[in-house]
Order: sequence, then C-alpha cells, then structure tokens
Amino acid sequence: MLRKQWIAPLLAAPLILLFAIFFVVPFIEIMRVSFSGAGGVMAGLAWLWTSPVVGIVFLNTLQLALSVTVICLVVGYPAACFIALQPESRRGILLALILLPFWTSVLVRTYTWSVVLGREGILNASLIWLGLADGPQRFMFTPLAVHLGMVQILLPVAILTLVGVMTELDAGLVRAARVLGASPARAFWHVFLPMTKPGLVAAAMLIFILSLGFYITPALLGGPRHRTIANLIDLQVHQMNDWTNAAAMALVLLATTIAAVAVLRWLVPDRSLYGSAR
Amino acid sequence: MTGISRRDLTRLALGGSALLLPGVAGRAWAQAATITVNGSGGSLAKSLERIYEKPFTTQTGIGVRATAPVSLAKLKAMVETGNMEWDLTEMGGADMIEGVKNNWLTEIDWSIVDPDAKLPAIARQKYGMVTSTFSTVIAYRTDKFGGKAPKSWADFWDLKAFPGPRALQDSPVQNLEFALLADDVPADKLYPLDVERAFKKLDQIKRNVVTWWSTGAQQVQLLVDGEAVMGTVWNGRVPPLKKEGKPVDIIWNGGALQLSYWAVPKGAKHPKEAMRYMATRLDPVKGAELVKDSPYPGFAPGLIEKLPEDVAKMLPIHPDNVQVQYTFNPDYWSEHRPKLSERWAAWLLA
Repeated sequence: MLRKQWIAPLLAAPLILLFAIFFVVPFIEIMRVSFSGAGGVMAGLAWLWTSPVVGIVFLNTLQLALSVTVICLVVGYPAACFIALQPESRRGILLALILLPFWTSVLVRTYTWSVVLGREGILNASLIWLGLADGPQRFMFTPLAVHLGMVQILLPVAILTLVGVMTELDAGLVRAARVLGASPARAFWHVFLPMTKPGLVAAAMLIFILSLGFYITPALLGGPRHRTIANLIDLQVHQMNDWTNAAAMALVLLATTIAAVAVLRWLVPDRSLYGSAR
Repeated sequence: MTGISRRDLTRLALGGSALLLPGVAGRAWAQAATITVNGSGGSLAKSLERIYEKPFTTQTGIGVRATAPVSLAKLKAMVETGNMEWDLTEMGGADMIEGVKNNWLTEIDWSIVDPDAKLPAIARQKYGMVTSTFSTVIAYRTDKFGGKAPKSWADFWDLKAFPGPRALQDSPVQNLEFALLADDVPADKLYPLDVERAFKKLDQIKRNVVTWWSTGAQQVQLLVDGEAVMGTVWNGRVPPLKKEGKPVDIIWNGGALQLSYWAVPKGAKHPKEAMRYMATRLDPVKGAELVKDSPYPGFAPGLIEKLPEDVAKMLPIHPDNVQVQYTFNPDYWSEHRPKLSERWAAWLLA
C-alpha cells in the first residue's frame, strides 16, 4: 500500500516530468545560449533599460492585458450566472456553444474580424445602408478592434472558469439570505458575489497571463501602439538576430507573469482558490 | 534433447537477414543521399518540386526534401547547436551578410556548380549563388483614383491627387529609401541614407498609413479588402491577382531591386550533393518555366530571351524595369539596422 503522503506527488509526477522536459530544460538552454554572448545577462538587461521602446511597449502590454481582463470578467460574469442557473441538460448545450469558437484557430478568428470591421466590411456597409454613417468609418487598427479580437478569444476562459465555481456553490445560502429578508441585490452582493470570488480571481489570473503573451491578434488588428512584448521578442529574434535582448525581454515577461500569480494568490488565500468553494 | 541446435538458429538468423539485405543495399545504392533544401514554401514549393526536384532525383538518384520557412534565426540555432538539418537554404541579401559575418556558411565550390562560369559575376559569390531577384514596389487600386494612375513615390506622398489610406511595412528597411525618393533624392545618391531627412518626410504621411504590415500575405490582403488604396508589395504578389481580375497594379518606378541567394550552411551533411543540385538553376529552359509561375527570375544565361514579352515585362530584371528601380544595399542595412530599427519603433510609438 502507498503511504498517503506519497499519493499527491505521484499523481502530479507525469505533469512535472512533462514540464521539466519540455519547458524547464529548453528554457534554461535558450537562456544559456542567449546570454553566452559578450556582456551576457547584464548586456540584455542594460538594453531593456536604455531602449526608448521597451518601456513603452511593456506598459502598453500591461495596460492591454488589464483592460482585456476587466472586459472579459464584466461580460463573462452575467453570462456565467445565466448558464449556471439553467437546468443541467441545457447547461451542457450552452457550454458547447461557448466552446465551439474556442476550438477554432485564433488566426482564423482574428482574420474574420477584418471581414466585419474593414472599410468595406459588414459593419461599415450596414452603417452606410442604414444611413448612420456618410462614408466608411475606421474600425480596423483601433483599440476597439484589438479588444474585440482578444475578448472574443479569451471570453470562453472567463465563462468556463466562472460557471465551474458557480455550479459548485450552495444555492441554499442565497435562498436563506432571501428568506431572512435580504433584497435580491443585497443577497447578490453579500452572499453570491463573495462566494464566486475564487472563480473571479482564477479567471482574472488566467486571462491576464494569456493576454500578456498575445501576439497575432494585436499585430493584425491593432496599430503600432498595440505592439506587445511578444512582438518585440519576435522582432529581436527574427529580424535583429539579437537573442540576448530577446531573452532579457522573455525573462521580464516571465517575471511579470510570476508576479501576477503572486499578487492574485495574496489577494485570495490558496485554499479557496484551488479547493471546492463549498 | 532439443530439436534445434544453437548452430541451426544462427544459420536461420543469417539466412533471414540475407533475404532482407538486397532490399536495403539496393535502396542505398539507388539513392546515395537525400538533401534537405530550405525555401519559402507556399505555392512556389510545388513549382520547384515539378521543375527542379523531381527531375534531379530521377537523373542523379539524390533525393530532395523541401522544408520551409526561410529563417536566419533557425540557421543560427542549427549552427550553434551543431544540429544542421539543411543542406541548402534560401537567404535574403541582408541575411547573407549576417551569415558570412558570423561564419555560418560553407564556401561554394564553383567547379561543381558552374564550371564554365556561365553565370554573371554578381550571381557567383564566395558563399552563395543568386537564385532569384525580386523587388519591393508600390501597388495601388486602379479603381480608386478616377482613372488616374500614380507614377512615383512623390505620388504616394501626394494625398491630394491620390487620396486614401496607405500601407507600408513595419520596418525602416526600404521605407527610409522610399521617403528619400519621394523627397527627390536621385536613386543613385541614396546611400548612405540621410536618416533625418527620411524620417522628416515620413512624418508627412504617418497619419495616413493605416497599418504597417509584417507578413507577405497582409500586403495584398489590405489592398484587396480596400483597407488601403496604395501600399508596398513584393512584385510577385500582384500578377496572380490581376489574372483574377482584381483592380490592382504595380509601379516599377522607385522599386527596391533585391537579390535572393542559395547557400550551404556550415555543418551541412551533404554539401557536394547540394552543390550539384544548385547547378540545375543554370538551365534557362527550367528557369523560364519557373518564372511563368513566379516572377522572381535568377541569372540563368539566356533566360529573358526564352520568355514572351508580356511575361518578361513583369520581371524585376527586364531592362525597362531595371532602369527605374534602385539597387537595394544590404551592406548599409547590415551595419545600421539595429540602431535604425530602434529609432523606427520609437518613431511609430510617438
């Protein structure tokens, strides 16, 4: 018989092994090769500091990730509520509808937006036909286009995470609040919302981290101001041939991701985040 | 007592492998090696397979495996990890300079590739052979300017005569040259670039450039979708669209004439076979056939003469077109690119 304390590590072993082989080892190797040039790590970090571009792009990336996260949560929360309140059979269908676009290639979905938002696209044609616009409006290469593209891709992550938490809740607690005289709004604010906090934090964390690494969508739908750190890394690797700078930026991106996780775990102590909400 | 002795078993095993051996030996003889040739893929890869790769394998027994895409980063990674997958790779002009500078390439044995020195000197370089020429040119929508057609970079900048959104590449490379041409700098006096003047000229048009493209597929998509009415493209992208009846055309005037190479990476496993394969690019008949699919001709002697005039006119090395383009200088960019790219990125963000 296995001792109880061995079971958890054993169950996690395949995953840890996978990550060690396909993430940790290549990561260390890339860092070693990248920083083996003249100056090493310090040259890369010094460049980050002196470049007129990196700081701005980094802030733009953070800002973009943050606004996309907020929009996903605001839009996703009511949708998740609605789905969680449905009877189980219908919930399955609704979740399948949410998952359908999730399985479609990001590149395809990003290009599709240019069909909708383009100068000669569906939206402009409709506006002109309805008499709401005199000529083609500019939607492509604007913040609107980037946010639409990214939110559409990441929204399923928000909804799925939130539905998971909401269906696990003890619905009796909300009923109890109502029976004891709380208004629907009060029952929501003081009972339902706090119970879904772990879901909100988990969804926020996932979306924020995924947004930080976004690359194709901002490049195709956005303007120069929407270039992300990932775009800059690509530029350094493929155009400038400077792996030291690219690796330095990758390190900063990794550090930011770890920091984001740390902050969120500090906001919500881990038990309620990973355990069941009940 | 056992029915079969150990000796019987050994004999049986030997007999078995003897049966297998002819197959193995036969294949090894028929196909001395398989070379891996890295190119840009896409529809061009199919033409290359039909015109060059298959006949070469039939003739020599050397197999050809095509890979894509062209990437200097990949070349660097393979050389530095000692894990060379390619025997031959396509390279752009600036990449070629980087490759030579960093010692990532093998010297070409011209006695194998071109023993009779049929190629012009420009195509015979120490570490590479010019396989094709291409040009970054202005493309425009023929239906957007009331029958008028832009003729130069000055017209590209002229938003009154030719109104509408523009598209340029997200890179200082060539865009600085284009800006200087628009500012009336003669094509033969471009280098070294007057960077201040170029950026000042670019300021005039920055607001009207709706997007800064980064991939080849984007350039024409932007025009076809009407996102831009004028933009830069690689010359080969437009003829197929014209054939489909799309209202687009290109202007050769002010185009950036560039060379594309074949090189053998350092550590390639079959350099001799790769160089034998390189030699097939000297055949003008094959070259003429390839150019019909893709207007990026090399310097195979007698190529232009083999083509009908309407096809020849669509090539960057047609004498009429050579006259009006400028010759792109990869040396300049190899030296100044890091600094100028940084400035470019900052300029775009400002």
